[in-house]
Amino acid sequence: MSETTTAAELLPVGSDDYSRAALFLYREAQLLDDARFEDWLETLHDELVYEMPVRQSVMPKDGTGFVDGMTFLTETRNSLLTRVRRLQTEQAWAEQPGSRTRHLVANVLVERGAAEGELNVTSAFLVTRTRADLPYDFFSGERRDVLARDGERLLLKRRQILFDQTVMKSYNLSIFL
Amino acid sequence: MEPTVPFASLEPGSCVVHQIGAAKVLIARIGDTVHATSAICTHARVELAAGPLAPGCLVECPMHGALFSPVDGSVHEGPAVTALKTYPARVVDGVVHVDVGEDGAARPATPSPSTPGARPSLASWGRPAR
Amino acid sequence: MAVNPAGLLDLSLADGVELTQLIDEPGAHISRRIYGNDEIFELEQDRIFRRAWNFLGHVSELPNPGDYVTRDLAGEPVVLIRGDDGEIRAFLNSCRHRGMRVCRADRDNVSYMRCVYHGWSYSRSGDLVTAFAEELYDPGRLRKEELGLIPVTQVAIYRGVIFGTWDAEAPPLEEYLGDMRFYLDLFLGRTDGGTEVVGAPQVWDVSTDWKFCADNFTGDNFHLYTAHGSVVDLGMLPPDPMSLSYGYLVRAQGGHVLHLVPGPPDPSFEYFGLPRDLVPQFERNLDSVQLGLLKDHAWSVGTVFPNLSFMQVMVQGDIGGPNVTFLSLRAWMPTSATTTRVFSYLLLDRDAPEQFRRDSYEAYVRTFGPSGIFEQDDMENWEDCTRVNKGKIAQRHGLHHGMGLHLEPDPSFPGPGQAWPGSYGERTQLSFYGEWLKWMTHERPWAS
Repeated sequence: MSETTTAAELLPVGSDDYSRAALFLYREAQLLDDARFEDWLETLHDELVYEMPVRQSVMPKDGTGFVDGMTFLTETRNSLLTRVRRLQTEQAWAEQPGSRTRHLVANVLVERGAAEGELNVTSAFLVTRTRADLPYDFFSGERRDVLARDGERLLLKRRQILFDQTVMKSYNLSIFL
Repeated sequence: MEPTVPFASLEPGSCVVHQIGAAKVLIARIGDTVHATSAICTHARVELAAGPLAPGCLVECPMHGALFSPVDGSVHEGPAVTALKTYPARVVDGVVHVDVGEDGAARPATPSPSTPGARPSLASWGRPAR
Repeated sequence: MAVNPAGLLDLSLADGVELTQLIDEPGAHISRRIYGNDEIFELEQDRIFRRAWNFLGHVSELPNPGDYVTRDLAGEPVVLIRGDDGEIRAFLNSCRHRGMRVCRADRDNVSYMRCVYHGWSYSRSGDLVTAFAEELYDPGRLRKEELGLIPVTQVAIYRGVIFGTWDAEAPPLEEYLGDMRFYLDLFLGRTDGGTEVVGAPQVWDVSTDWKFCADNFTGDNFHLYTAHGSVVDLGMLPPDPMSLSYGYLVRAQGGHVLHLVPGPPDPSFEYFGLPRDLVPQFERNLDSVQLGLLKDHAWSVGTVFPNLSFMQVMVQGDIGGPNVTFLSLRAWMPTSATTTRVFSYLLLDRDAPEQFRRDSYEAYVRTFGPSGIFEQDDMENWEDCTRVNKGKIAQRHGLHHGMGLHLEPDPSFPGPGQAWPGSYGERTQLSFYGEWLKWMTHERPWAS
């Protein structure tokens, strides 16, 4: 979805494709919060591009501050598979004991994508994390996703995570956003 | 016309500030031509700074960033709204001459804000109250 | 700072314990009291960070006149700005009128540094150009030539890295770095064009005493097979826990330390796995000893005292992916006794080929930084150590730093400084803490 998307191009709430996209996001949130990472991997497209650019605090004339060329995450399906496999070892200390997360997804907007069967989906997210007796960490931002149809199901083909913080106020990012 | 600075001392695309009597004059060189305007920003009455011109051959006020054309004094970007006054300028025998007219004469002191009972002019306020 | 005749600063902490009791370098014990302690933090700010040469940035962050970046130096805001003359200057980021920051973005390009409070404006060289309503000051009151931004006392650049110190007495940067320059050149001075920052630093806040980060980056290689056991389990580090134990621990000078670790005897591990196309440049820019060390090693991590670390390591970014090297700079900025702001940069040789740039970037982001499959576990350790070591019972017992102390420096090692054989050991950590104590207790720590 781009700045030029008009309201008329947005799929109506409750339309078939809107509901499928929203359902995808809600189910994904549940898989992540339940630490069902193996099932989550099944929702990722083979050609997935998954990025979370670093952001800086800049004047409005310089735009939103997302840095060209540096990210907190620059992932493919295989690198996310690596992260999941890491969590499945018995020495992934940052997640052993594990984080307890809550992925809240809202403000879902859907339009038809560039290719047949693809949907461009933007949404706002708020992810809370607590772990052991530590206070909550909050991760908030916007996701810009491309969902691709694969038979009867949708797969995540592209995700851009537009994070709200410039200095990450969390000691690590050992969870998925 | 009063002599000011040697033309050769002015880099193309730069300006200097010169005092002629009571007047502060900004002298800018663009290519091989010289232009003269008041050197006092019409917004916060700050003296404009000598040095290279801003992109687009403009003069940028150091304080709030107003951009003026040194050619006709016009405002290209706020917060100023009033153009800089321009003065005739030309090079005579390698020296930039500027005519500031009556502005060079010592003027009666404008009412200072610290004069007891002084009030701003309606013009400086910009608009009457409704 | 109060100084006694022997050139020692006041050694006593509030409860009468002396600083010299906290670090036992020969006995290899470090008191837990040095971590997470407010009194120590204030002393460190005074005696280390306001005196030492601190990392400020990299020249490639400021390519054009008027470019600025904002940073901290010893806990106070500074701005680095490139002037119209091309010089990079650094100033306390604070208007001389009320103290407001004059540059408030992380980066920008400005014609003037303008205070948004009352309009005082400073040139790109830090001079006060104009104050508001100057005609309302009596003549001579507003001496603008004395009211420029307060410059960082000394600023200097080494191989593109910008350093600053608040101490007029500090020796020149090159002298401060001393023999460490020889080793820094392996990473920062090996190619014709030098290095550049990729994008911008990743920045994040960690609830740790900064010393745990620096300690870890003095060349602690033996935490790999425990702290990063998950990566071993994935087959992304060699299975034998001693496979990364070879090479040297090097104390270049003072507290500037590093390790140099060789890969197995295979050409793919030569020159740290850097692109072969760059080897002619290495040959041009390094002397024969440096070139030999670059060729023979694959991993190096080190720290420039007090809080600038670097790493050039070969890693796999994902299962089955290529083993790729990256160069990262780290500044561990203490923000309190128990919190540290981490600045992590990826550097690339300007002349590196395009495919390598992409591979190196992916390897770096996937393994280090807050999401890195290595580094996310490091913060787990640093935060826990900081919390636990605050305990009064815990503090009755020192921390053990004794590995490899029986080894003598290898006289045949060709580089400057002292080099102990084998990269598993605690010589470099002890050197770091010994230097820390020297700075905490000596009037002129850089002397001797």
